[in-house]
Amino acid sequence: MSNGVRKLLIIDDDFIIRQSLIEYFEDRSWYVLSAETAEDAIEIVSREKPNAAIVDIRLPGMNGSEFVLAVQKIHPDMVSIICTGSPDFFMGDELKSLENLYPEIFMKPIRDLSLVDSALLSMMKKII
Amino acid sequence: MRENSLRRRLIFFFSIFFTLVTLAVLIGISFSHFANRSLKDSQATSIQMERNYELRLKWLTLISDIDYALHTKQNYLISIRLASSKAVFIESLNRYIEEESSRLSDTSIGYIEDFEALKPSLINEIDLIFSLMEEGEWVEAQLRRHTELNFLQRTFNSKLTLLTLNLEEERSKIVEQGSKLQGIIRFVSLSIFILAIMAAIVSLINVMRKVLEPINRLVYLAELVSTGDFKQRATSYGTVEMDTLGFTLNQMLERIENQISDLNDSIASQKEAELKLTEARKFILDIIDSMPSVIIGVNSEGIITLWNKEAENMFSLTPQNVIGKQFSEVIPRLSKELDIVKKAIKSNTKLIQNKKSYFDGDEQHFEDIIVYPLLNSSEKGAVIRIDNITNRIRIEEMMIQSEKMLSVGGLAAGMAHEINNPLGGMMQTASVLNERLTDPSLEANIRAAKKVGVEFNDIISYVNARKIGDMVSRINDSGRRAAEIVSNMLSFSKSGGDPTSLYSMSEIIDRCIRLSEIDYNLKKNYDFRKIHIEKEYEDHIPDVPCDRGKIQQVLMNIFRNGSEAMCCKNRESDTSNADMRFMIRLAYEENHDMLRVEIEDNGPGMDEELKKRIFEPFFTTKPTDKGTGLGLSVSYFIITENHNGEMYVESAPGFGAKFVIKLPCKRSPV
Repeated sequence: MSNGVRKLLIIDDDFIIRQSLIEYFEDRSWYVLSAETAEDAIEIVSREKPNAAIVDIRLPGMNGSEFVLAVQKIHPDMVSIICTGSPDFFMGDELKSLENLYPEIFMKPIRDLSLVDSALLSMMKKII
Repeated sequence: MRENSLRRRLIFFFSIFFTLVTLAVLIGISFSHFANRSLKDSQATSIQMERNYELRLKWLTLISDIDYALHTKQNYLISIRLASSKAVFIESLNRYIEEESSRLSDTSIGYIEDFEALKPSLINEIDLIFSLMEEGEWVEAQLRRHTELNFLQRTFNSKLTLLTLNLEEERSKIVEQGSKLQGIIRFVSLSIFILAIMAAIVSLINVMRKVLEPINRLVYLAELVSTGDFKQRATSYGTVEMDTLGFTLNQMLERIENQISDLNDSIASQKEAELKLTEARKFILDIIDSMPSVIIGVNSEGIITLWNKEAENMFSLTPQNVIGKQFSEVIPRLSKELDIVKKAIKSNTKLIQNKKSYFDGDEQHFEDIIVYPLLNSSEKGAVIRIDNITNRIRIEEMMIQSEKMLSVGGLAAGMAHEINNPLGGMMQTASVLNERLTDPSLEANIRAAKKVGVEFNDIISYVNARKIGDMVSRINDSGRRAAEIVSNMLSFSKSGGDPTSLYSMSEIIDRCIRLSEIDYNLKKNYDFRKIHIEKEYEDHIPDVPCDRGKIQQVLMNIFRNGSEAMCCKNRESDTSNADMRFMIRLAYEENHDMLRVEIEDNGPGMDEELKKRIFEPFFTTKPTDKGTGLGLSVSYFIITENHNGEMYVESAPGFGAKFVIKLPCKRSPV
């Protein structure tokens, strides 16, 4: 938590989605980072150490859940929320067991983005 | 046998009878003969006696003539009188002797011979006296007369007296003999006659016995036979005629018995054939009865001739009630089919009528009707086969629906991501846009407004004035609808999670009614609370394994649909809401182990076309902004695919609609 700034990493390959999330969370005093792929995101995580991440599942290359599992070693303090448009996605046991992963999946289109905001904040409180 | 002939017997009897009678008659005749003879004898004896007296008289006449001549001593007298007296006497004597000797009586013969011996000396003496008298020697003649002639006279008299006595004796003897003989003959002939009569009676009795006894026995036999005992036989009766009769009767009986046994045999074989026929008939009827189809036989007039078990079940009428009656009277709803039957018989072709629908109460049924003309039967007719295909139709419809839905589900799963992402982009951006234009709590907004020299409140005023907020929320609404469609479409996939927990269906229903009442307040244009709800819940309804949320979704869908339908109807007919009603029935079908929920409205109902499509995805009768056309298809899918249940609707225009949901009470792998 350097400089007291809350860093949020948004990973989504869809530009418009990504942009809407960036704009929403920037309005709420988040320092928003973004990545188009999981590979890029891992790099950002290791460099920037964000407090939270909103992860899309279906991504080119590494997918969202793999990313969540992968970053546990690099930066276990980061809380994550999965936000996907794939209706057939279910959390596996490995994901369910993660304490820093929000246990519910946000389905796109997200009707009320404030729910995501409050979920992130409650998760961060829990972790710290 | 011949010896025992009755005729022979009769002939024998009559011959004996006649012999005896003849004998009696002969004896009678001989008796009369003998009687005649003894009469004749006695007559002859009397004549003899007369002659005897006559002779004696002639003698006395002669003697008296001699005495007279002697006394008178007249010669002339001698020659005339004496000569004639002497001639008469001699003639009489000769005749007497002749007649007596012809009698040849043993006792008389000696006397006759004495007479004959006396005759010459008598004639000599008389001639001597005559000659003496002629000569005039009277003294001499006198002397001679009183001596010699006197002596001769006495001898003659005694002889004649002896003869007379003898004759008397003989006569009495003959009479005695005659009467004795007569008695014997009478006795004998009477005996013979009695014997003959007795023999006749005995023979008659015998014959009668020989005739009557067999007749009686034959009568008894005939009586036995008349009672049906053809085993009886006539035995030998000892006479040819009766035996012939008995034999003929036996032959007759034998033939009757043979014919009866032949008849019995043929009856037995006929019975056996009948039994086989009955069995074959039974077998065929069993086969016909075991058919799962209704099979009804009719003749060309439409009279029912056959009615199988399934027909009995379907129409709740036993064959006894319907056979022989008019088909169209027994089953009025199929009266039109009679024309088809007639057509089939006339054209000799099989006629099929598929998927004919009818209503039994409010329940709709489907049936296939096939009319087969009977070609080989002696009587023209047809067999009507009715298959209740209601279940098949429902299953088919269900399968078609399910397949449609599954394909929609598959499509949705493939494209959901691709649609959700742009929707997300659109809607999230719209949200951010709305915030940035209307939210005064965001510092970023105020900061940005100041930077460009505008008060954020002014911006809000502008946005409100231009109704930008509404526009954004319309974007959101459209996005939400699109998202809902996708989400509903996604329901059409097998993956749905098994119903694992048990819930009380009545509780679920009641909860849905409450939710629907609340739902009204939010966005619907009808008042669910004004709808009258009737409930008919059976007691002891078991809990059912289900996904409560999904079942709720289904029930809510049905309530919403029904309410809207009733509401539309009311709007159109301009009546109040008062008569809107839901009838909810909850029952347990024990034979299928299924829970049955019926939700019936009294809305406008549906026609066939609508009913067919009601569960089709994207089919809707509502304006596009009111419904997605997925509600009922999703409901259908939830029931049939997720819960392995059944769902169908029964309806007809003007009769409301009844949704029926059946859920299995046993958990089964989906």
